[in-house]
Amino acid sequence: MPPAVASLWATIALIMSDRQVILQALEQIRRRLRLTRALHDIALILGMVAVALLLWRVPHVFASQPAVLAAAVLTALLSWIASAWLLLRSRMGARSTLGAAAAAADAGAGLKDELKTAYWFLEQPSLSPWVSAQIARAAQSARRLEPAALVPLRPDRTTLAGGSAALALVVAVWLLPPFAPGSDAAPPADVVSEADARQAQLLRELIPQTEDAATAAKLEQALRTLERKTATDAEKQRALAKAKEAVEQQNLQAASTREGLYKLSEKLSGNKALAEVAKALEEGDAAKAARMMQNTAAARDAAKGKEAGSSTPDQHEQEKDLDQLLKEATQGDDKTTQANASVAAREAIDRLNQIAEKLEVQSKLREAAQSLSRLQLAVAQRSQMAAGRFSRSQSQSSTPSPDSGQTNMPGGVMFRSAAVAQENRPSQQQEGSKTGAALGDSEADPVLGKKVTPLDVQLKREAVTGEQQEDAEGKPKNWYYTESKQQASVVDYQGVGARSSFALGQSTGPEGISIQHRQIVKDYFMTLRQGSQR
Amino acid sequence: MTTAVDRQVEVFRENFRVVRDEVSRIIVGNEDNIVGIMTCLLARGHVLLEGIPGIGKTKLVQTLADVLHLKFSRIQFTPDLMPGDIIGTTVVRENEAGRKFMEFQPGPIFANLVLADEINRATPKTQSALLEAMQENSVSAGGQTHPLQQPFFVLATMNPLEMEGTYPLPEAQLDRFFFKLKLDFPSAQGLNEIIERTTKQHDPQVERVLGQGEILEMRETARSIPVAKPVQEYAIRLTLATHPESELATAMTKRFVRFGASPRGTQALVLGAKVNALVNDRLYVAAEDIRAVALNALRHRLLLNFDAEAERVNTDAILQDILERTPEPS
Repeated sequence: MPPAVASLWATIALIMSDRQVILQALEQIRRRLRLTRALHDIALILGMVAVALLLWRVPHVFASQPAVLAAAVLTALLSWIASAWLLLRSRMGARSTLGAAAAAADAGAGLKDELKTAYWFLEQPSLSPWVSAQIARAAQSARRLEPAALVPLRPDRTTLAGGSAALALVVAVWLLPPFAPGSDAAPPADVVSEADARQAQLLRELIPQTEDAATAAKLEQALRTLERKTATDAEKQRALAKAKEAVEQQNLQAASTREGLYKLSEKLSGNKALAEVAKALEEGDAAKAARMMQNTAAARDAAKGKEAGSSTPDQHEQEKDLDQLLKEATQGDDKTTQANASVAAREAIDRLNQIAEKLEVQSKLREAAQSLSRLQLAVAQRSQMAAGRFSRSQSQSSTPSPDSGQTNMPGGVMFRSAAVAQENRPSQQQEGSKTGAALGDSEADPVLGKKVTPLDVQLKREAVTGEQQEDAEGKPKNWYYTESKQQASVVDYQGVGARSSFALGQSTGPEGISIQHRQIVKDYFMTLRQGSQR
Repeated sequence: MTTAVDRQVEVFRENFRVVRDEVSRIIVGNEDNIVGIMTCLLARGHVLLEGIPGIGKTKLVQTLADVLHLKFSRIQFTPDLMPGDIIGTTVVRENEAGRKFMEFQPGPIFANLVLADEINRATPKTQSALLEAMQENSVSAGGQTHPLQQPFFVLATMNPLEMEGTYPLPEAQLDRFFFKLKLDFPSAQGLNEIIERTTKQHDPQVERVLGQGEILEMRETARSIPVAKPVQEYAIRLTLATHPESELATAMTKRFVRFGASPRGTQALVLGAKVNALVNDRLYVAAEDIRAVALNALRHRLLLNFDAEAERVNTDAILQDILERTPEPS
């Protein structure tokens, strides 16, 4: 505040009564409180708008992740409700009375209820000297107040922080690309486009070759998905998987055809004229079989001088099996049958050529399916999570070989039999080992128990011999068991102690001479006495 | 421009400061308790001092009596103390003419400052002898009522540890005390100061700085402070919050309190707050003044239940909870 304005304000304030000073100061504070509250409300409304924008944007970002989408939408919705509640509470709790301004001034300037009390006294009719003195003091405090410092025109820190956070979140979500599931790190744009381009090219080549309309439709759909720029990796994965499934279906039909050719070769194996054809059929080469059949028919026609075009169409109106046609083609003893054989041969050749063409297309489709798998893996490996999911989906369709147990996996072959350690001899059980040998044999621990000495070893039979005491067999009647010599030699712990204490007692007796040496000592002194007597 | 009110407040504050400083020459620490005792004296109340033995309860009262130019008497409460020993008794006297007559011999309670030392050691009958004196400022004996000289100020001390052979003060008598002050054990620095002051050749001496008239004048000043209605309602809300059956009761009150504070509690809150406001140079009572005296004014007026005793919850904790949860006047 400039000095001139301040001095002017001081002069005016002196002229004004205490009541006017207090009310004017409170009015100023009330105006600023209103403005601050308006700022607060604006910040809250902006926050609500930001959250609404988030709500609008979140489905676009997390479109491929329903769970994340639901959580994000729920969180944004809750935030919006919280903001709305705060706004409502702010509006409902908004009090713009002079009393509230006095309370704010007291709190801001540390006046300890001075203005609040003064304002309350001002509203009361009775005035005592004490009240007047209090109002005068409050007016002095009011003159010193600086409303601008007390109530700064800015939203409070919480509102500001919340608004900034909401704004930053909106900007971040707005700039965020659509979320790809599990894509921890986005691959370079050129790599992605190259893989997609190769897949699209492959599919584009496959579609004209596909005879089946449903398969072609699926391939076209996959191609459209690949070529769509907004398609996510997950969508491309799903489209490729569907295309591959359709191609696999065609492969199954080809396998069925090959099996039919093999069975046909078995049926024709006894026919010498068709041996070459049968061999070609067994190899699954329908084109070769057709060529062989053509050669066979030409050779037969040349040999028999058969006239071409004398076939009777009536006989071939009905559709015949290929094996029947082939057998008919090799017959032809008379003229009629020769003509029929010639017709049958041509039809069989046509059928075989058709089969060969179909197999060729299917072969191409199989190659295309393998290429698709490789490309699908390449796309999936853009992220570790997707690659893992792709591996699981691939391994589920792979069937282990019943002979070897090996399973073809996208990353290699899983060997089942190599993990078993073979060993001819059962290994010795190691101390503490509870698993046993590799073959499952385990040596049991020896049975542990209390060592028992048989009674006949512990005891010795003693007899009291005498006259007329033997029984009929001559054995003594009066007998008893006593301790055997072996048992007597066993010294238990207590016995050892007793013996040592006895020996100690003997050696430390009044004489101080042990039993062992007593005789020697006695003999020594006897010798001395005898010597002295001499 | 200094008004008469301002001068009155200035005199009050100066007298208060002088007494506090003079007592502090003898009593180490316990500034809050000195202020509390002075508040009781100026609010026409009586104070109960609680503290362990040897902490300076009696010394504090004796020092205050030395500082104030008032008549002081000390009553050592013992189990065999009789009410007559406190109030006084009627004796038979003989005049010059040889005629005998009954004369009331006033007891030690007829003083301005009465120290009831270890009040819980006397029997309830003797304790109740103080009731009328404390509340009515008069004594009835021999069919006559004898007014007590003002200011009449009872300072009772109580030892919370030795409960054997004591008679706990009944709630009715506790309620008569304006404040209940707790004297805490001094800190290491405080102990050091005590040793410094009391182990030398000469003990510090205090001067009589305040007389009877000045104290009565200060009492009048304290009562003159206006209280705004919202602040008064705040004191009422605090009192009601101590009652478990009240709508304003906190969860802690409902759980641990059997009976809440009486209306005397509210009176003590407001009167104590008035003195506190004057001491802090305020001409009005703020919510802060109410909070400042709430513990001293209400802690002995709450009767706790068994749950509180079992969980060792004291009244101070409950009052702190009430102070935190009761909204201030807006």
